[in-house]
Amino acid sequence: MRAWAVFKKEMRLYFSSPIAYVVFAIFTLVAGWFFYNVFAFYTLISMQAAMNPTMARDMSVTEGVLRPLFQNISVIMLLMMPILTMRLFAEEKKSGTIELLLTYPVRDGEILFGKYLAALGIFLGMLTLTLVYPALVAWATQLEWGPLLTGYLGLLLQGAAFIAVGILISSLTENQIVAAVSTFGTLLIFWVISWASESAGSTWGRVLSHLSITEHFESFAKGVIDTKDLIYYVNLTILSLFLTLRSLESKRWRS
Amino acid sequence: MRRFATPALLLGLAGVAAGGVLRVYRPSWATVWPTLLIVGGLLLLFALYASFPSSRDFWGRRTTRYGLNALVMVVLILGIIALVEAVSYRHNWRVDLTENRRHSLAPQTVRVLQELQTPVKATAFFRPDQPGKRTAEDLLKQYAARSEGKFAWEVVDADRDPLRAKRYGVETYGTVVLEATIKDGQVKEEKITDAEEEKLTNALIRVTREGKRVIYFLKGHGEKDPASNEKTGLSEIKAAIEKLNYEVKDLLSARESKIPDDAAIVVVAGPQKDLLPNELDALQGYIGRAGKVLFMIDPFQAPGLGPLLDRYGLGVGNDVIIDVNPQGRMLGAGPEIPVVGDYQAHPITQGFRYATFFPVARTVVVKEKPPEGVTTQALARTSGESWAETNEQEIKSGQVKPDPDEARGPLTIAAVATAEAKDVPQERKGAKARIVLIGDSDFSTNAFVNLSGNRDFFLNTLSWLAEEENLIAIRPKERRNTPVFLTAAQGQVLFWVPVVLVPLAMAVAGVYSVVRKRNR
Repeated sequence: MRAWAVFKKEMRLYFSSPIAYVVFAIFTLVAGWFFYNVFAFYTLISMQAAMNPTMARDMSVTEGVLRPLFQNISVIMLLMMPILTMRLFAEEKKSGTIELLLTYPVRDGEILFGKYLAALGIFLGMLTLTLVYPALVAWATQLEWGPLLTGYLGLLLQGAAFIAVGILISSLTENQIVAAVSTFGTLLIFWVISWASESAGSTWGRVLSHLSITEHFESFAKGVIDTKDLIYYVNLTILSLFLTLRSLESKRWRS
Repeated sequence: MRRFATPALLLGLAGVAAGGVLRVYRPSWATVWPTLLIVGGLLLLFALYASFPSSRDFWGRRTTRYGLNALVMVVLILGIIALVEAVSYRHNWRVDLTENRRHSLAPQTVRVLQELQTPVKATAFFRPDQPGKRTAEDLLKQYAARSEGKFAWEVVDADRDPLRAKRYGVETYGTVVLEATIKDGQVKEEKITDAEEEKLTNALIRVTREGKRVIYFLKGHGEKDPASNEKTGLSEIKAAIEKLNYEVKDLLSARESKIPDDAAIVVVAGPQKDLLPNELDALQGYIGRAGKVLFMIDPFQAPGLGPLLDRYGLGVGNDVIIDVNPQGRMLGAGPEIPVVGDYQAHPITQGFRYATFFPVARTVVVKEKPPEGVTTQALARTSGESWAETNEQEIKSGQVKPDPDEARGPLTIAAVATAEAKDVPQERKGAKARIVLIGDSDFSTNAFVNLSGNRDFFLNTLSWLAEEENLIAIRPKERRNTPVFLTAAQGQVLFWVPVVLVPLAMAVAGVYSVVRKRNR
C-alpha cells in the first residue's frame, strides 16, 4: 500500500510538469509519422501487386505494416525511455530528498516498486496511444490478431526491461543528464551487441547474439512467442531491479 | 610501508607495460617479457596491499562487511540468471500465433534438419526490394535455427554480384542454390526457383542424399549405345550426364521383370526392334510408380510402342519430316534435317534460344483428349516450310514432294506428358510420372550432339525429367491476401489522425494543464 503512495506521488509529478505531455506528444508524432510512411508504402506496393499477379500472394498487412511498425516503435522506445527514467532517483539524490525518503517508514522495495510502476504507467499510456495505428489498419483491411497481440506483448516486455535498466542507472548517479546518457548508451550497446557475433566465432557469437535486445524482439514482432525471448526480458528486468535495490541499500551503510 | 606504495605502483605499471609491449614486438625474448610481467604484477599487488589503510582495520569495518555481503548477493543472482538463460536457450518452447502458422516449420522439415549429416549452405538470389525476400529470409532463418549449426544461408543481390549468379547458373530472382559437401570433398548442388518450405526441404533431401542416382539406357533392341565412341554412339552425352552427378547404366529389361528402384530416368534411345511384352509391362509399371521416361523413336521403327504411348496421350506418325526451310539450308542442313527454332512454353525450353537439328525425324502426335489424370503438351515444332512425308517409295528414291494428303508444318516433333502416378506410397502422394517423346534419336549421337542447341536440349530434357517432386509432401501455408486500396478521403484520414491529431491533442492537454496550474 505504501508503494501505492509512492506511485501516486510520482504520477502527480509526471502530470503536473509538462514531462508526460511532452513525452506523449513527441512520441505519438514520431511514431505516427513512421506509421503513416510504412502504411503509405504498403498501399503503393498493393497497387503494384494488383497489376502483377505473381506478386499478389505475398501481400500481408501483418508483414507489410505491423511488423515494421513494431520495430520502429521499439527504436523510438530506445530513445525515449532514458528520458522517462532519468529523474526517478537522480533528482531525489540531487535535491537531497532521497535521505528523507529513506528515513520514512517505507521499505526500499516499496519505493522502488512505486517509482517503477509510475514509469511503467507512463509507458503503458504511450502504448495505448499507439493502438490508434492497428485500429486504422483494421479500418482499411482485415487484421491478423495473433501477431498484433504478440507485438504488443513484446513491446511491453521490452519497455519493462528498458525502464528497469533506466531506473538502475538513475539510482547510481545524481545527475539526470548522466543518467539519461548512460541509460541510452547501455541500451544501445545491448541493441547492437549482436553485430559482433559474426566475427566472434560460433560459441561467443551465439552468446553475443543471445544478449542482444533486437534479437529477442524479432520473434514477437512477427507473431511468435518464444520462451527464450520472454525469459530474456524478464531476467533483464529482475536483474536491473535487484541491482537497484542493492544500490539503494548501499546508501545506508556507505555513509 | 605506505610510502612504498606509490613507487611500487609506478614501477609495477611500467613493468607490466614493458612486458606487454615486448610480448608483441619481441616474442622471441621468452625469458625477458614473462619475468617483467610477473614482477610488475607482484609490485602492483604489493602497492594495492600497502595502500590500504591498515588491513586488519579494513576487514573489520562495517562497510566492508556490508559491501562484501552485497557483492556476494550480486554474484549469486548473476549466476542464477546466467543459468536460467542457458537453460532457456537450450530448451525453448514457442507458439506461433499467426493465422497460417507461417513462422513454424512442418515436423517433416524439422526431422530432415535434425538428421542432417553434412553441412549445407543455401545461397538465395534476390533483388533487395523483391516482395518474397522477407518470407524467404524468415524461412531460411528457421531452417538454420533448427539445424544445430548444419545449415548456413546467405542472401545475395543477383544484380550486384552477377559473377556468383553466373557461377551457379542463376537466371531468375528468387532462386535458392543449396550446396552440400558429400564424400571425398565433392560438392553437390541443387537449385530451386521458389523459396517454399516443401521445395526447400525436398531439395535438402536430394542434395544430401548419399550415392548417385542412375539414368538407365534401355538395351537389346538396337538402341544407340552410351558406351560407343562411334558417330552413332552416345559417349558424349554419357560424359555430360556423368558431370551432372548421375551414373549411366545399361538396362537389359528382357532379363528383369521390374525396372530398378534407383532409376532416376529410363532412356529409350532409338530402338530398332519392338520391345517384348514383359518389357512393356515393366516400363508401364515403372511409369505407374512416378517413373520418368525419355522416348526417342526414329521413323518407321519400333511400332509396338504405340499402345504404350497411347495410354499417356501421345503417339508417333508414320512419316519422315521434310523441311525446306531456308534457315536450315543456310546452316548447311539438308531437307531431311528439320530445324526447330519454335519452342512451346515449358520448363525444358524456358529461356532456350538455340535452334535444334533433328536428322531424319518423325512427327509426334499429341492426342487432343488425353486419358484422365494425364496432361500433354507439344514441346517443339518444325517450321512452316516442312511437311510429313508418308510415302516410303519417295523417301527411298530421294525424290520427295509434298502431297495433298500429307500434313504440312509446323509439325510437332517433341512432346511431354505428365501422368498421376497410382502406384506410389502414401508419403509421396501427388508425385507424377513424366514422359518426353521425341521423334528422333540421331540428334543426340556423337555426330550431331554438338550441333547448335542439340546438347542443351537433351540435357534440359533430362534435368526436367530427373526432378523429383514430393519426396515429402508439405501442405502449403494458406495465405490471406490483405492488400490495401484507399480512397483519397481515407488516405487523408490516415495522414491526419496519427501524424497531426493525436500529437496535437497531447500537446494541447499539456498546455492546458500547465496554464491551469499557473492560474491556481
